[in-house]
Order: sequence, then C-alpha cells, then structure tokens
Amino acid sequence: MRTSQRSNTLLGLATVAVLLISGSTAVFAGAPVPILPEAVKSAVEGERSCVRPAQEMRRSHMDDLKHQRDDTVHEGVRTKRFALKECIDCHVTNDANGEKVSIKSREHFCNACHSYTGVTLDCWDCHASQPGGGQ
Amino acid sequence: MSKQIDSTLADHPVDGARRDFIKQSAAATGAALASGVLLYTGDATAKPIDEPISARQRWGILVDTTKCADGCNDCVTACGKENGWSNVEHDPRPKTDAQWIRTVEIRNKLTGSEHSLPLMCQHCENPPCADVCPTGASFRREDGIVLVDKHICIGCRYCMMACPYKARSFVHEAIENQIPYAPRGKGTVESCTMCVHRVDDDRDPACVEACNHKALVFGDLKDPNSEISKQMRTHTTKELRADLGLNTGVRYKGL
Repeated sequence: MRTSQRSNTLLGLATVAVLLISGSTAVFAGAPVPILPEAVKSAVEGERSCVRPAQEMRRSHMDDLKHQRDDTVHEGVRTKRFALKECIDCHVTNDANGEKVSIKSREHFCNACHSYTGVTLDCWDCHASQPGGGQ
Repeated sequence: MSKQIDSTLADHPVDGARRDFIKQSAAATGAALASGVLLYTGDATAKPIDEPISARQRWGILVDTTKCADGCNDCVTACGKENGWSNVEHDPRPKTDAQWIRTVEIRNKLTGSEHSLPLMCQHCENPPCADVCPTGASFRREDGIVLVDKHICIGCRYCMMACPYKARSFVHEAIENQIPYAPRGKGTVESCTMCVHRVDDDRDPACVEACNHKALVFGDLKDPNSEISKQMRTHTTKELRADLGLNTGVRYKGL
C-alpha cells in the first residue's frame, strides 16, 4: 500500500516536472529574442571578449558604469575599462550604408536589448551614443 | 644643538646611491639651464589615470586684461567648439542659449579707461553654487575645479541664481551629437569645467591654448614654481567681487 502511494506521488511529481519543462520551452520558443550586434573590436587585446564575461556584463554592466561615473566626475579617475566611451567605441553598429547608428536606431547595441526589455535609458540624453559624435 | 645634529647624522649613515643620484640630477638641471632650452619643466608629472585627484594642486587661470585685445573672441570660440555648446542647430537665442564663457567690455566712468576681458566660472574656493545646491550636484573637486555632476542635477537652477558672475547656463532643449568627452543634455545646468577632461590629461584648457595674445595663463596655484604663481607673485592681480570672499581660482591682472 505504502509502496504504491509513494510510486503514485513520484509519478505525479514527474508529470508536473515534464509539464513545466515542456511549458517553459514552448514559451521561450515563441518569443522574439533581441538581435545583438557584434562588437567591432575587442576590449581585451588579442581576445574576442569584453572587459568581463558576457553573462556578467548582461547582469551588472550598469553597476560598473555607475561606479565608474562617480569616480570620474568627482575624483578624476579616467581608467578606460568601464568607461562608457569605450563601450561605445567597441560596440558601435553600422547601418546598411556603413553609417554609424545613433541610439534612436533599434540596431544600436544598447537599444537592441533595452528596447526588448522595455528599459528606458537617459544616458544618451547627455552622452554621445556614437564614437566621435559632434566632431 | 650641534650635538643633536651630529647624532642625527651618525644615526643615518650617508646613502651613497642617493647622493650620486642627487649629484646627477643637479648636473642634468645645470646642463639644461646652460643650454637655455629647458628653463621651465612645468608642473609635477602627470597624474596616472587610475589615481584620484588630490588637494596638492589647485588649478587656476590668470587673465592679463592688458593683453586681451578688443573685439577678439578666440577664447569663446575655442570653448564653444571644444565643449560643443556653440553648436546650436536653431537660430541664436542669446538670452537662453548656453554661454560657458563670454567677453565683457568694462569702462571706468571716472577715468574712461576701457578693458575687454573673458568672464567664465571663477572656480571659487567657497562656491555659492555648491552651497545652495539641494542635491549635491554642484561641487568643487579636490583640485579646485567647480563642476556640475549632471547625473544628480535636477535642473532647479538655484545655482544660477546664487552665482555672482552669471557663469552658469541651463540647457532648455534636447541635444544630439554630443562630443564624447563633453556630455551635456536637456534639463541640467552647466558651466565652464576648466576643460577638466584636458586637465586630467595634463593639457591646458581650450581657451588658454587658443589665446594668441598670451593673455591667459593656466597652472597650479599651489606650486610656487608654476608660471601662474610667479606672475601672481610679481604682479598685482584681482579677483572679481573680492568683497564676497570667495577666493576665486580665476584672477585678473591689469584691472
């Protein structure tokens, strides 16, 4: 009796697990994913990588940028590793005509993800969103 | 007293290598002076980019109004170009467009003497703009440069009211195509930064570099050997509205 109860419970759990997995797969498969433009150059010399692994950058680039901005504005620290200008220099995107796109374009590296996630940024109200802008 | 000195010397035997180094340095300096090429080596070596600024320096600008030519606008043009504030797409609106630096003509009513001079943020030691700022966005860097941290500026414009020099501007309209090292945007207050991006890179501000009349001198007010300190030691200089006790970093000669 006990054994059959246990096996029933296990069967139930397994069913739930299978449902969950298949359900989630179905959801992910149907949603559009952001198209991320490739960086034009590598931040780390000789390697095709960013200043930190991509997974970390996706999660916490805003913390790095915020920390750097305070250090730069108030203390004059001008290291390049987490400087916004350096992000832009690497991640600049060219459109079909070979022109650098501004933040207004969905092809812009930052905009590609942020428009997908519905995050409105005000970095670009002040900062240049293309290398060498205005010059 | 002499005994004390003797004992101190005895406790610290002469460091041969150090003495040699000093001798060589002295010789090198002498040679440079003799050739007449290297008379002024400038301020201390440039700060490494990963080190914070310190209060060992206080940056200042000395304006020689006797050399400042009538009708010359080179410093203003250079500033506008360097920092992108003169690059307006609409028709000029002098009352509201940003002005980080302007030339001012002054005339003494009694004597009739006239002067032309550039007027910008005076980079006060006790800046009234920072006093009134409700968010801490207006602040003075350790090295004396007064800035707006636009990340925390809410655009209330109290600082503009407090500044006795009318040195600050408000950005009324959205801006595009900013210059990467000079971010500026709608809803924030801005003013002369003493070209802080250049100063951190051990270069002179754009206005100083652009002045063909050598009327502007930039340097470290705390370094007695800097050009600006030497000139301030040998000439009478004035700060504008000295009665306010702000101890400005920008000084004027010949007023």
